[in-house]
Amino acid sequence: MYLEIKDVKKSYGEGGSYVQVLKGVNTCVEKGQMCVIQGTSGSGKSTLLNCIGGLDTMDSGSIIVDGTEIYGMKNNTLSEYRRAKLGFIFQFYNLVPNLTVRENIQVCEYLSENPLRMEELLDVLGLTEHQNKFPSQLSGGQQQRCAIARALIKNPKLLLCDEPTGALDSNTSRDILTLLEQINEKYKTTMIIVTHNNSIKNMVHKVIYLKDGLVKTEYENEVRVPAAELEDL
Amino acid sequence: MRKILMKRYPRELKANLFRYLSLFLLITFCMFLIISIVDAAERVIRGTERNQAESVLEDGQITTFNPFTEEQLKEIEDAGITIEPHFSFEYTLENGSVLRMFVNREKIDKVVLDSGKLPEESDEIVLEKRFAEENHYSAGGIIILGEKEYKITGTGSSVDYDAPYRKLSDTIIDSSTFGTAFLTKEGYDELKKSGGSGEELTYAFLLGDHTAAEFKEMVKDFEFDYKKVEDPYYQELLSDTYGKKDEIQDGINDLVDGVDELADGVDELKDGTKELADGMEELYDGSVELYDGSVELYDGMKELKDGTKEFRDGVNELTDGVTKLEDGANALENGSNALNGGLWSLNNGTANLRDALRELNNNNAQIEGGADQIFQAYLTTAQNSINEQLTAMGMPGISLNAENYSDVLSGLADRLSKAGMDASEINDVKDSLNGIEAYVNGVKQYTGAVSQITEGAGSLADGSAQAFSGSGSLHEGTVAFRDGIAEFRDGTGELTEATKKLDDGAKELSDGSRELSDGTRELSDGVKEAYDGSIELDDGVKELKDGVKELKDGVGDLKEQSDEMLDKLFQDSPDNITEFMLKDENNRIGGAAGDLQMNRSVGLLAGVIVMVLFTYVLSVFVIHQIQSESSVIGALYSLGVRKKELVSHYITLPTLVCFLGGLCGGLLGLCKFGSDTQMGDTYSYYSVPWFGMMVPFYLIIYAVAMPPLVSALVNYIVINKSLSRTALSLLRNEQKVSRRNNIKLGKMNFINTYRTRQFLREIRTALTILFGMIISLLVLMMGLDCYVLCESAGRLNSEDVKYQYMYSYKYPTKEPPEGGEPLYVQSLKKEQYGFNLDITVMGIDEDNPYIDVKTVPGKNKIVASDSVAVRYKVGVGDKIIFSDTANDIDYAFTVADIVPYSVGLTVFMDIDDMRDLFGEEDDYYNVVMSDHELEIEEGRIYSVTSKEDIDKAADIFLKLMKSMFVTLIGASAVIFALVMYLMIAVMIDRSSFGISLLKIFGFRKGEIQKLYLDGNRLMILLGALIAVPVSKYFMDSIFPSFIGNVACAIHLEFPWYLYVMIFAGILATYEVINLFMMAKLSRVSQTEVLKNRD
Repeated sequence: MYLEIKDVKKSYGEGGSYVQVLKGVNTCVEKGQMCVIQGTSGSGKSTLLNCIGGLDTMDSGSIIVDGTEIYGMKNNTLSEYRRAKLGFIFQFYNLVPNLTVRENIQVCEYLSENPLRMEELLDVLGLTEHQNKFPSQLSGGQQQRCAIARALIKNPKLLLCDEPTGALDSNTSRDILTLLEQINEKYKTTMIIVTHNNSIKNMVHKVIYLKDGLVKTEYENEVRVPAAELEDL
Repeated sequence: MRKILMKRYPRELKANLFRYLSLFLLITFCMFLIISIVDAAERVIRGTERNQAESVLEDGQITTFNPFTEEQLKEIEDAGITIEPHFSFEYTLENGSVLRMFVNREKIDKVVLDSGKLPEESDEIVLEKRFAEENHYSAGGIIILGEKEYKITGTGSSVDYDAPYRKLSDTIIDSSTFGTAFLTKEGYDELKKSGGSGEELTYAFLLGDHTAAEFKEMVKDFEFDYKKVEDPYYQELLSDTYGKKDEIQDGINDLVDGVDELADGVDELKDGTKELADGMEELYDGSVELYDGSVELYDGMKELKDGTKEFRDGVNELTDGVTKLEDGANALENGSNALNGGLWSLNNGTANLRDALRELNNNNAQIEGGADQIFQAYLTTAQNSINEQLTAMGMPGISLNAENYSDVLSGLADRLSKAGMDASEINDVKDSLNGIEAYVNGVKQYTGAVSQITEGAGSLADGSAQAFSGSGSLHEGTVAFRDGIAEFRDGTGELTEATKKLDDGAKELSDGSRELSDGTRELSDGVKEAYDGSIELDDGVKELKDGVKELKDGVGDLKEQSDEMLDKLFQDSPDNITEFMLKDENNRIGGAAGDLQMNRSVGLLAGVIVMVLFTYVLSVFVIHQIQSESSVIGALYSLGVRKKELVSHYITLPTLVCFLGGLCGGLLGLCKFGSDTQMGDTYSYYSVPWFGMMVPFYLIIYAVAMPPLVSALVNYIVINKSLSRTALSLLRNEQKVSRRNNIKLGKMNFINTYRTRQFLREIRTALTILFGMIISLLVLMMGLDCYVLCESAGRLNSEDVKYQYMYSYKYPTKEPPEGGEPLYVQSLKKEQYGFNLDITVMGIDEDNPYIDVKTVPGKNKIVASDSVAVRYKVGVGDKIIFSDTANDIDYAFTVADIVPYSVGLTVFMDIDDMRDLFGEEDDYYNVVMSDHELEIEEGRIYSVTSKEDIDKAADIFLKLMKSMFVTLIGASAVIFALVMYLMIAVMIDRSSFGISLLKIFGFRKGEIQKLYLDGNRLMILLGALIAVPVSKYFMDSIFPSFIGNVACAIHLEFPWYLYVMIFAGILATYEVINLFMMAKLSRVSQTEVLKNRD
């Protein structure tokens, strides 16, 4: 098992503002799987993703990624963990505005001792012709491609995607999802995608549905729909 | 990654070109100013050091009355001391300016030429460069001295006159009226003959291995014939001083002789008192004996008196006895008559008695024979009876006689009793015999008595016969006795008379002896007192003698010491030295370097302070950038980028800007426009050679490294916190809600509430503006303080100087000149900030018309000028110590009052107390003030100061400082304007979302301006209200240290209008900036809201 999540609890606030977001989540993801976490607003899906990515701490429980327990890690160790194993894709891209596409990707290239080849990645992501453009010169989809490239360049074993298509139109969303699918196939990257979009669940290996801080249901798709064929994105 | 991120820098710079460029320029400008000032200071300081070494700067100079002889010079040189005559005289040119002429130097203080060559002919001259500049002379030109033309072969300077003060007491260099010139020896001598006056015989020296004191002593030991000194005033002084030596010595010799005589007299007196004491002792002993005798006499008289009394009593008793004796004698006569008659009768009777008794006596033998017979008869009868009875009993008989009957009968009775027989009969016999015997004895007694009576009667008859005849004689005797007694009675009457006289005499004698005793006792007491007195007198005279001996010794010592002192005063003191001054005491040497020391230290410090401000401004930009890139930074953190990598990234750009600004400013500061320009002030004031390009290594490091280091430090401190947030927090762009944002504002209208919230949100930026305002105001205050100092110094000096002329005497006359007000002025020293400044102690009369100061009596009481009080921070009642460094004496004074007086650093004393304190004569003075020019012999005068000179000096000072305070005021305005512009611009940038939103909501331009800009006006105004007094106070506190080497009053009070101008300037600057900001506000697009959410 590549990712094991055991009885993870997380709360915010104190007193009257106390909210327990995760109430004992248990689940797991196999290596190379694409996994979608779904749920309504406030169900705890982003919080769970942040805990897996070491961006947020959990109150209790255990998250083991590729055999490494991340509960109780110090900030510096978490930073090294992210540096070595993770890639992040965000809804709002978060590209460095005054760096070109290529430069934005290069920022993370140096983080890995064994990065992917830049040209190949640009080619795979269809960014070759845009590589010298600044984010402000790109469309939303192109910016997200750039963000994906930035996340992938360091060849992460686990790619965490927080609403990767949330700010994109349907076609662009499909393109991005197709891209992710290709990457998964090509690089065997384990992917966890947090999304509201109900269609995306059909393209992944495993679906986890959270409700009120608990895993309500989880299942693996016996038949996956290719991303290019997804509807209602 | 750094490589990739570095690509952001040019883009960042391009995007914020004005912001970074303006800061870069500001840093460059400030570093240019600082580096140029510091480098100029370094060039002058180090250049002066090098020049002093190359020109062989003197160790000091000595001025003499007479030139050293060849032998003396040789002795000096032989001792290893290098000496060179630097004789000089002053020559007044036609325009009134004065040239001090020297022979060209060869060994010490060598002339450094700026142009031309040294003089070789007697008509060639080199002029001191500043004098030449001010009077438009140049190498190759001509100068007319007297009637002769001199060819100016060059212009230059000498290290002993780099601050060419005419007098050492001058505070302002005026090269238009004074300079130095150098000629050949021949040229010098010729010119001196043709009109030079008052030659100063000064030698410059290099001490070698010797100390200054050793050299001075050596010169003092040189033979000096003071009579050869040509100066008549000096001779006059000598006659008033050294001429007194003999008088003083004669006086002391007289004193010694007098003391010798006194000692002799006291010796004699001592002998006399000794004799007197001995005599008194004897007299006292005699008086004691006399007293004892008088006491004995008195006792004898007393006894005599008692004896006469007893004698008188005896005479009285004798008289009484004689009277009684007379009576007795009469009675005795009468008795003897009666006795005679009785004796006659007795004689008759006794004769009859005798006869009768004789008859009776004739019958006595018969009576006694009868009695014996009876007793014998009775014994025989008894014996016979008893023998019969004894024979009857068979016992032997007894024999009885008159002698043994009692014993025989008693023995017999005992035997009978023992034999148990009755002895009563025997005892009866015995008793009977005893009776008879007693009878016989009685008869015998009777006959014996009759016989005796008969004999007595015979004797009585004889006696009575004789008594009868004796009584006849007795009667005759008693008659004669009675007559004798009568004569004796007459004698005792005379004796009684005599005794009375004797008694009276004895009484008088007793009284006399008592008076004599009292008298001798008083005499004795008196003599005792006289004796004690004579002893005391002797002791006193002895002490007097000791005292006189000590006096004699003291006078001997006095003579020795006074001889030594006189030798010192009149032989040592009138040595050949008129002035001995080491290079450190000579304010003409190193004046330029000394003045610029402060520039260097203040400049370096100011650079750091200004850089802190600029880098803080930069850090505000960076913080703004970090906030705007918060989510990007969060994403990068998420991807594993470390904080330190981003910290170094964000620090790099401001540090780079600072580095480049420092580098450019440094380069500019070191180039011709920089330090050369800064040195212009030095070259236009001091007489120093041109110091070429010099770049101290530390200054390069300072210019290149200090700005980026300060930037890195400040930015690290500021940025580190912002980048310490978690990745998630940054991703979410969470804004920390600080307490200040939660302040409840109460009931305020919307505009004010919004403004206040905006202000609280931007308080960091507001504080930066305030900080910038304080820094720029500090610079402004420095410039204004300079201006105010110069302006007030000139104005107040002019007001305080009420005289037209002040003459400082070298040789004052006995009486001050007519129309002149005498003062006694003494120069002492007081150290502050490492500078030993001259304090003028001015002794004045109460009615001095030129000094409106009421002095306080007392040798240690001074009235301090406010310039002294302010500089040394003393108030009334405080103690202050001034030093006489030449004589190594400290004087402690109490400040009795403080008065406004701004000329130099002056304190006032009562002139009499001051003369007393400094040991001068009661009429001594050395300065005269006057309201008109006085005719005083030039040779007596050390210097003349006119009011015009003082006014002129103030003008020069103001002119000299003008460029400095204009630069400072300008720099402060630029700093303030730029900092304010940049910070308000940042405020608007940070608020662009809100501004955009308000525009979308339909707020008008004026309303948005009210919300975002007008609040700043209040902030600037309040900031100014705080920053102006704070910066003024701070600058006033440190400003005195900037001018620590200038002995002048420090009046830094601003007139009210200056404050108004400062506030007006601040507000005007703000309004101009505000105009730019309004334009910027207009440029904020409504789409900003959307941008921020993309």
